[in-house]
Amino acid sequence: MAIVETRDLTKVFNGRKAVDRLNLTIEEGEIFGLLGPNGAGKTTTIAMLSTILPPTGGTAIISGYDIERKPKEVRRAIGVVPQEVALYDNLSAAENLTYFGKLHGVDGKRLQKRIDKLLKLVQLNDRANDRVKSFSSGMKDRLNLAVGLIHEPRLLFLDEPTTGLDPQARLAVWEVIKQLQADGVSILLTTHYMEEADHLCDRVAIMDNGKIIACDPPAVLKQSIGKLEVIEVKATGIPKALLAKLRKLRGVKEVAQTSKGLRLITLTADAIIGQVVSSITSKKVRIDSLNVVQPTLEDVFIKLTGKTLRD
Amino acid sequence: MIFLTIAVKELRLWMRDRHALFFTFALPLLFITVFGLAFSGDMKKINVLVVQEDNGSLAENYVRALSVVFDVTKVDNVAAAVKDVEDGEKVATIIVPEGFSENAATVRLIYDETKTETYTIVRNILEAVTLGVLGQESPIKAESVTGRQYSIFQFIVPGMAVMFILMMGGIGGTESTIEERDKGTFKRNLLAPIGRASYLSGILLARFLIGCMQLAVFFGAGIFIFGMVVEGSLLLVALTGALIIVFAVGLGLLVSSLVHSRDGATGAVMALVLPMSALGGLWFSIELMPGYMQSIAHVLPTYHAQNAFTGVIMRGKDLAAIAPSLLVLAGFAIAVLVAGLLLFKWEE
Repeated sequence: MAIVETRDLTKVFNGRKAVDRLNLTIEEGEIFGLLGPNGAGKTTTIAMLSTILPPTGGTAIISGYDIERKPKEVRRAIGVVPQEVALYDNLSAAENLTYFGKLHGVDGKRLQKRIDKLLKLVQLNDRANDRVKSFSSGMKDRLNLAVGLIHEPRLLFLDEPTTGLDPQARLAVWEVIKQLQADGVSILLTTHYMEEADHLCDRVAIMDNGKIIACDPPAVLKQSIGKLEVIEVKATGIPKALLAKLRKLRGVKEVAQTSKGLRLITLTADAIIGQVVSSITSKKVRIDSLNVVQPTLEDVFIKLTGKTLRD
Repeated sequence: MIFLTIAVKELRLWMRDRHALFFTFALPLLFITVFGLAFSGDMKKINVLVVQEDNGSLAENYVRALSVVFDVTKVDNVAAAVKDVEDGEKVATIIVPEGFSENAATVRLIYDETKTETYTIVRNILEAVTLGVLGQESPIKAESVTGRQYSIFQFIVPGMAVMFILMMGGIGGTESTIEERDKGTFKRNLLAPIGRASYLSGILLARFLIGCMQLAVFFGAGIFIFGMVVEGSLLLVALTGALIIVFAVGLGLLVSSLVHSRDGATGAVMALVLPMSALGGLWFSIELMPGYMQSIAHVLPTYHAQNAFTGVIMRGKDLAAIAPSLLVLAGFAIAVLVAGLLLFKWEE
């Protein structure tokens, strides 16, 4: 059974289509990833699904309720973890959980049990009565997540849950997300980290300019690239003209600039590697390193859009 | 010369900070304008009531001399004249008694003891006129209209209470709304299955209660520490206080819907509340200002709040007597509250 079903969901800001006739279905128990660069429409989609931003057109059914006609029922079914920490600094961890729990109609013993369980889940049980302003940013992130779970939502929206976290903290959050799925929570997460989508998601929708341009399990998406290989070049100061030149090489499917250099998708890395190197050096660009690697979800995105996710 | 580089950088930052410029130049200029106007122009002659009970020529000359220095309103009925002073309508009544022309009978001065500054001027002028007309110092019998002991706290406590309830309601209310939006907790509240009405009612109730606590603390200190006497009903004090608190809460809501930074909120509220406090008579009696400034004062909510408060506290007025001021105050409270609710932004 689908827990989310959008029907031509659209949002127009000042004539620009931030979300353009979106149709997606999320199954119960699934971790579903929305992947795309900044400005692709991920956050706008989540805002509409969480009933705080009215759609310009279309609608969505969440847990059987229409987001426009039954917003309160929808809000009861969903938990939202905003990207920025949204907590009261001068309340303690337990007080924050109590307040938002009561707003969601959780009360008495059930609330107390929930608070104990969640504080353990996010490893803050020994800091329950300390004010949030004394917390480190990692602790705030974890409490931020716990507050979104206080009313036992059936569906959780996670907006960029690990942006800005160090690798260790990221692993801890992934652990919690996996645990939630095991408890039966369906999860919609947005991210621009490929490895995150790859590691966590049952299915990934790639979003660009308000549209979904591909939607499949990560493995299928990677296969869709076929037997392609990727040449990863680390270099600085790459001129635009070089990208154009590389694209014209025979056997090159797509080239994209990355923060570290460029990625070149090709059928036959071995056959063209020499030409690639001479093209680059002819533009007086020094190559720091060059590797032939297996395609990742990032390369799927590059092949589909000609851009990297960080663009 | 590195210190010059540092000074130039500091000045550049300061020039680009609109709020710093507001507090450095705009607010002081506003105050210069407001207070300059409040005290500029000829002071009007002070309006006093005169009851002339003697028709001898000396009495005629005496009253004519009074008309030169005062704005004299002649009345026949002593009781009515005294009542006007008692109600705070006039600062003093001068009674020229029968037998004044023959044997220089003692002139009576009945004054409003709550208007110390104005009354003192009236008394000094009256003594000078009496000396000039009679050529001798005649004893003037001065009586305060109620015979009650007046304390400056009866004026200062309500005045400062009104001003700081408005400041707190305006600045505190706006800041908490802005912080709620900045921190993202506003959105998080709206993500709960609650109505917008519940959210705003909760917020406004808390701010109303903060105002009530202020009122209780200020009046409690006035009464128990400074021995302030409340002649009228404490319930009327509470009612007046409740209206000014609703006005303050509405002001905070309205400013928070129009201004989007903390500094901006502080500036807007100060630019509004401080002149309104001075002109509304929270700092000093508005009778010291020229007539047209007094007319402006009469449309300010601060004037009506202070008028209702002092009416009850100093003169023991009842509900009917302060009802006009309460109605004006209620009108202002409803207006800012409704405007604030209509302009409140639910989406970013």
